Amino acid sequence: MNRQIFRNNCTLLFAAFLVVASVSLSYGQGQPADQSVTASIRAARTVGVSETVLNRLMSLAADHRLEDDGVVRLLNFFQTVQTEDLPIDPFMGKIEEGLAKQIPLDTIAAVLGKKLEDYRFVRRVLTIKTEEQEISHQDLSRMVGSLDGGITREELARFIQEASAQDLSMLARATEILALLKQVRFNESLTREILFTGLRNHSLTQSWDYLAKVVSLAKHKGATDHEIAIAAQAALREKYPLKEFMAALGFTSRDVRHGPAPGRPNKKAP
Amino acid sequence: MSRKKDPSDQPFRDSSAKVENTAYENNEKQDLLALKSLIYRMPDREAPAGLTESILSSLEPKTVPGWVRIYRWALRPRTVTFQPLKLVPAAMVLVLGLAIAFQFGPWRKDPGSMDPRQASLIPVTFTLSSPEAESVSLIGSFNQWNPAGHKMQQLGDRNTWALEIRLPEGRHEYAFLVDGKMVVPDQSSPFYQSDGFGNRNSVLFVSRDEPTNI
Repeated sequence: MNRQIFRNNCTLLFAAFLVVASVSLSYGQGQPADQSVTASIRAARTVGVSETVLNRLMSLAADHRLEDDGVVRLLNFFQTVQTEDLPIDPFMGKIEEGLAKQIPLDTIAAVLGKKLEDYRFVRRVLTIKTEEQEISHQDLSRMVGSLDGGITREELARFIQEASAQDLSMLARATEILALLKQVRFNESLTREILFTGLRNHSLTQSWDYLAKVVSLAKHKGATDHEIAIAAQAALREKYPLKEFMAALGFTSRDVRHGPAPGRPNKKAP
Repeated sequence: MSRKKDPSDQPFRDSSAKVENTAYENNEKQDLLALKSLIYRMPDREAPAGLTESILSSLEPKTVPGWVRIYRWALRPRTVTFQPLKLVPAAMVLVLGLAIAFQFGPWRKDPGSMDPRQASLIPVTFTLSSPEAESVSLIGSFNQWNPAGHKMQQLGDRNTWALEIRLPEGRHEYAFLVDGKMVVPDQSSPFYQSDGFGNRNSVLFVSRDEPTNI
């Protein structure tokens, strides 16, 4: 009888020990994760990560749709971005985009890593080309963006090496247009001629941001690449704004206060 | 040497005091009667002319500060009675007055005027043909890729989803989020950008100067 009672007590004690041990273990594991998330949020906030991004990550973590470790890894990424003096906004935007598209955290982290490598690559190419010339975050981002627009690193590096780099803002615009004209299958050698003309004459100003759109519409209306290139180069040599190039192609400009739908002309617009 | 008090003395002393009091009261009554008859016999005399006015004018008016009067007025309890039916015209006049004030008052927002930040934005209509979709949201760099608040509306033909928003001039990336999970680029846009996740974002250029014909 006594032996039976002793055995039951031992079993109960052992069960209690197991419960206590498992609770301590899980607490021990959870505590550092919580602390590291808090520390990462604090650090991310310091380097300028927006509250919107932080709230989005936190709410997903609270719903157990994101692992704490993954959140910490993403947030710590911004420390590197800041250390290397890179713009934070494109990386924040990529996280927001990935979360909205329900991309797994590992994939988002991999894409951020690739983007970081793109930034390092473009900066390296520019350093070789321009030596001491300072480049703004905005221009750097435009050049990196052209890599996502369909041109390879080699194409970008070759273009930068061959182009005049008096004005890095114009060079950034040129790389962006290079990628966009490739997307509408505009003749590549004519593209380079147009852009080099603009860079040489220092005339690839802000209004020329919309060059690819005008070219796309002109091609759609039946203008040949050669006709377009002649008109563009003539306007750039004269340092005209984009409107002059549009006029040469027969376009009229209008205020688009009430339209149009992208990809679908608004017939009701005045 | 003190004499020991004899309790038998007390009633005697009390009765003598009563007799003294009664005599005194009788005398007083007689005096009053005499005075009364004397007053009756006195001739009537008129008050001097202007006595009342002179007394009143000699009194300084007591001025109370306005706020004290208001305070007292406010503290004084009042009872208001009304008939509900008689309030109807008053309520109608009040409502009418408020409506006119809101319509023509100085705080009325002129429909022609617009917040300068809003005025600098350009309206753009996004459309997607997706008859099977249950819901479509517009996500893009302009709304931090947040589908909340950018749900597209299904048009009458049940095939087309549309949404008009106002965007600043410049370049924007966007995509359609179908049924909350499927990312669909705008097939009608000639420009795109790889999103790195295996999809393409469409690229939109918003400008006031738009080429229309060639």
